[in-house]
Amino acid sequence: MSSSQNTQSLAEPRARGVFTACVLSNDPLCPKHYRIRLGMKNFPPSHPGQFVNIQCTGCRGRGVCDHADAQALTWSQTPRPRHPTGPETIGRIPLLRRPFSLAGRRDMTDGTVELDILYRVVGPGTNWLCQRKTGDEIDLLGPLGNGFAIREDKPLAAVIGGGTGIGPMIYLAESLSSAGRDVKAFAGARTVSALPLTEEQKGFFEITTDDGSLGQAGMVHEAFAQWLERDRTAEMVVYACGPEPMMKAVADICTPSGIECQLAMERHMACGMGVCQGCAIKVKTDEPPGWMFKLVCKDGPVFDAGELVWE
Amino acid sequence: MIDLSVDIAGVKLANPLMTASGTCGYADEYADFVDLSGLGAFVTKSITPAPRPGNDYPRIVETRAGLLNAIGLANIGLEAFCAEKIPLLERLGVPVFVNVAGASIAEYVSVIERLDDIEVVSGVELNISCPNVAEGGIQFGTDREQVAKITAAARKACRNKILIVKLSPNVTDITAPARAAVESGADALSLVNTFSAMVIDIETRKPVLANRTGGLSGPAIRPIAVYMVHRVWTEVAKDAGVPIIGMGGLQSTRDAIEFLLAGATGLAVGTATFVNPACLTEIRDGIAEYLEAHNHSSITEIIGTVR
Repeated sequence: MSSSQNTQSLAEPRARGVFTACVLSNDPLCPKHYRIRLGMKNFPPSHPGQFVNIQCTGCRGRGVCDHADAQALTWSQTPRPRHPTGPETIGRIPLLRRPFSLAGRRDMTDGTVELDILYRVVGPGTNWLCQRKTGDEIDLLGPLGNGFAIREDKPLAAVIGGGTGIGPMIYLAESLSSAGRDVKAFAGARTVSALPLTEEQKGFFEITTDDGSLGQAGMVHEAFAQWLERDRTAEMVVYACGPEPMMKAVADICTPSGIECQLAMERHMACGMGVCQGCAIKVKTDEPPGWMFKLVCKDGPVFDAGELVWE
Repeated sequence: MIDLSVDIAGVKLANPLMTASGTCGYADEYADFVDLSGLGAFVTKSITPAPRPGNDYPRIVETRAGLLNAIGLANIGLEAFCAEKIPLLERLGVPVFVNVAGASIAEYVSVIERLDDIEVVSGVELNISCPNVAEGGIQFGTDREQVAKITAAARKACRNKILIVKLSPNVTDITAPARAAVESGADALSLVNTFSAMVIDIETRKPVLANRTGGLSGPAIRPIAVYMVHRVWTEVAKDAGVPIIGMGGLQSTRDAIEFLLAGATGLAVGTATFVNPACLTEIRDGIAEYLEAHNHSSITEIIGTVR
């Protein structure tokens, strides 16, 4: 754990477990993305960057149920997603849980907790999820992984989200802002109809779209670089989540300037608890061969940009 | 009170439920989600003499009713295991079976010799069936002469512990390696490990896994696993008095009863624990309810009783 200093959450290892959540709302933000709000009687402390694993099948009971529930076998009325390169999907019941970053959290005075998750419908798991109605129950495991490290010594934070990766950035920007910190937030998408933000949230982010249909035309890391050139005023920390090429571009901007950069990485994972070893990611080490595997679920998903080996 | 206890070659288990090797780490990972002290036994991830980083990513892909993995026996190595993980396992309070792998018979033997003096270890499970490594693993498990040779060598090194041989299902006749293992000194058999399998991305036209192939687990393989357990029980194990630890897509009470009826004495759960770690103890309780509902007082009354 030689370079884990930068990726440790402020909080100590904490309680986590399996919880039942109630769907409060589940609405499309744009044709590709949904935001689901979940209500829970209680939930352990969580941090931006952490994730939960949702069992995207309706069955409950002893063990793990493999019975079909009718809804899992039919596609929703929303436009059927095209997934030509993905695994077989139609009519398939998800076996494993699906990981989702937390996109917001509100602790109520009565002790109940509201969680937001922002997701894109890409396969059988998210297809099941987008059909959940207000009042439905969802089986959720978490919170998992380590959140972004908050830097008390750095007064300014730049928060950069791309596509579905905007989700955890909303949670982070809200947390930093409510803690009274100075936040500059960027959000990028291919086009305005793929931008998963509410109208209210759009005002908080500097927006870029690849086709210029909203905000600045171009890539989100370019907007960040221009701002950095122009307005950088203080010792700062950069946080990013999005497609890997975007995060690499952000890292390539920050690393030569010595700017601390924390990235939330994504890998396919079977368990999310550090057991299956599926979500391996290469990080640098001093000892030969110069790299080792860490696990995105347990050691991440937040990593220091300088620690990663890009492939 | 229903008696769920079973005997695996002299090791008394409070109930038949155990973790399947490689799916439950070294016990500390699941501590927040399931009370592992309620298991019959804990089976560790494979231990090799030296640490192994494992295969490149992607290492897993979900399939219809299954999970394909090619982790590549990633593990911390024998010495780190003894120093860091044995103290954790000592606190579990249940028998521990350590899964052992290596690239050569000498490597298997070196790990077994080291474990043979560690008190908390009740048994050694010989992994001669991993489909995801270049050397060792499955090459020992699919040839009956190799099975005999490695089992005999392990038997010699394993003086104070029971020896469990974990068989590969990637054979034409599962009773051949089972017989070879029993005749060479195995005290118990674990079956089955994963099935060699492949998923191809039709756009890139490359296999999805970096290792190209992987091992298939999950409910897709359960009926084949039940069949293999039943064949080995009736044709090899029953008469030899060798208990079987059944596994392969087991994820509910119903599945557990099916394995018991087919001839399994122990039950291991793997892939399903990724979804719900507590299924281990839930299935245990479900078995007790089934036995009570069917007027049995002991689990042993139903083992191998498929009509």
